[in-house]
Amino acid sequence: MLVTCKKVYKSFGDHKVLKNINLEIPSGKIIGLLGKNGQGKTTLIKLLTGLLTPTSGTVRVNGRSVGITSKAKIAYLPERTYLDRNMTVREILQYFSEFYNNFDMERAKKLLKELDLDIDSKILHMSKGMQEKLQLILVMSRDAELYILDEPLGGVDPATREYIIKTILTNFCEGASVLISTHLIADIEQILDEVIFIDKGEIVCTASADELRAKESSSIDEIFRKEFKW
Amino acid sequence: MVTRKQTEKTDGATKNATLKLLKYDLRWIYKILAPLYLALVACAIFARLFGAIENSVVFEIVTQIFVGATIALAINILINTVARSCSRFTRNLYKDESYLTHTLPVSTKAIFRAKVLAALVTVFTTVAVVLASLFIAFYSDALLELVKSTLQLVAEIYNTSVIAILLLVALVSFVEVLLFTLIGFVCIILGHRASNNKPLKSIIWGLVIYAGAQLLMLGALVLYGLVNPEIMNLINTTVAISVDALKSLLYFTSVVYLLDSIALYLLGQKLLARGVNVD
Repeated sequence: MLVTCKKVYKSFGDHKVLKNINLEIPSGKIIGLLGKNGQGKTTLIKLLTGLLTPTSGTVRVNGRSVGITSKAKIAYLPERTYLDRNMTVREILQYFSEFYNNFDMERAKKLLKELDLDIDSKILHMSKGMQEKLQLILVMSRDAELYILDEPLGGVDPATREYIIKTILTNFCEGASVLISTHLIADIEQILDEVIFIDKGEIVCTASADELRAKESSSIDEIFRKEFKW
Repeated sequence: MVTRKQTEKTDGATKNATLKLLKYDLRWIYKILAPLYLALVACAIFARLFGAIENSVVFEIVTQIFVGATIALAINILINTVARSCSRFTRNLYKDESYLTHTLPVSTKAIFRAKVLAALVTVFTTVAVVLASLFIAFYSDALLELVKSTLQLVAEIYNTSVIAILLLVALVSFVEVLLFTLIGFVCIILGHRASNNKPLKSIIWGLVIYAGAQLLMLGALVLYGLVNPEIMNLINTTVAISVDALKSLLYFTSVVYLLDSIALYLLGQKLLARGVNVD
């Protein structure tokens, strides 16, 4: 199993954000981490990437605790822009290639060209949308074992959503898994192999996307809307 | 089972990671400091050049302007050096950029080590540039003679050479800068372990750790005083101590500061290794 979470709890003070998370992520699958805003999707992702430590329970990647080895294998796209705004695109590419052995510089340059992004432009002069696209390029230019994409479709227009989905599908490494966290299910449901529903900090359903659709005779989006009505 | 070869490989990778991180840390800090260094040196040169022109009220005023600018820039650079290192530390470890820092395949030890080294390197380049600029702006034979004779006098009092005095000053300065850097970084780490009011809690931790370090020093001096009556006199009385005792006091305080620094360094590494909770 690529990722295993056992009895994971995460609290901030008295506020319990994640409760008894038991989860297994296999290799070679595209998995949707689905849930409304504020239900613990990002917290779970942060635990997988080492940005947070669990209050209790264990998170393992390839059988080992989250650490240097797992970070080398996980390509993570956070929901916010994290690049040093004083650097140029070229410097960022260089930075990634120095730190990640699995970073493919040629692929990154090709993707930049497709996006018509100047390699010498400063991050400071790029719009938030462009920075997000650059971050997607950086993540998808890695030959990772697990791609974790946190709300990659949030706040972007439908054309860009299409570009993002295409970029993900055409660039992720063969045999790798992709974990996509989103509440915009309709846009990605066709590419999902498996789904994980998270609600109020608990995993309420993990299933094969096809089996779930067949069982409920409706789309994942409809099931989600039905299950998680306000 | 971890073999010796694997351990060596990991150590090598960590050193390599430290150097890579250090390169980017220094680049970030010098992006602002380098132009300031150039401006400072330029002001010092202009102060010197215009000061050489005699019998002109206008040039006297211009000289004073450049002298003022040199001093103001020197102070600005000293403050900026500390501020940039702290800002880099906070941004990289706890703000948006931490999403990249903490997902890099490098150890938290390497991250911490690189930040401490970057702070030390920049402090010493700043001190070197400031001293060089002051020398350019204010050098005169009389001043040089004064510095030389003062150093000679101190060396004679200490019964040693001028070089040894300079090395001792460098050692004490290094240990103090190291200690203050580590107090700064550790208090930022401790402050950010709280759920709210992180900057305020960082400052409070800074004050607590600083007071703790001074209390430790006092306690260590009392213990040292038990075996060295002259040191105890320094605590109990107002009697002046001998040069030898003063010398040993300087070495002793340097060792205590160094031990404090080692303890803080290990504490900082340990706290970071426990994991951060990025907002």
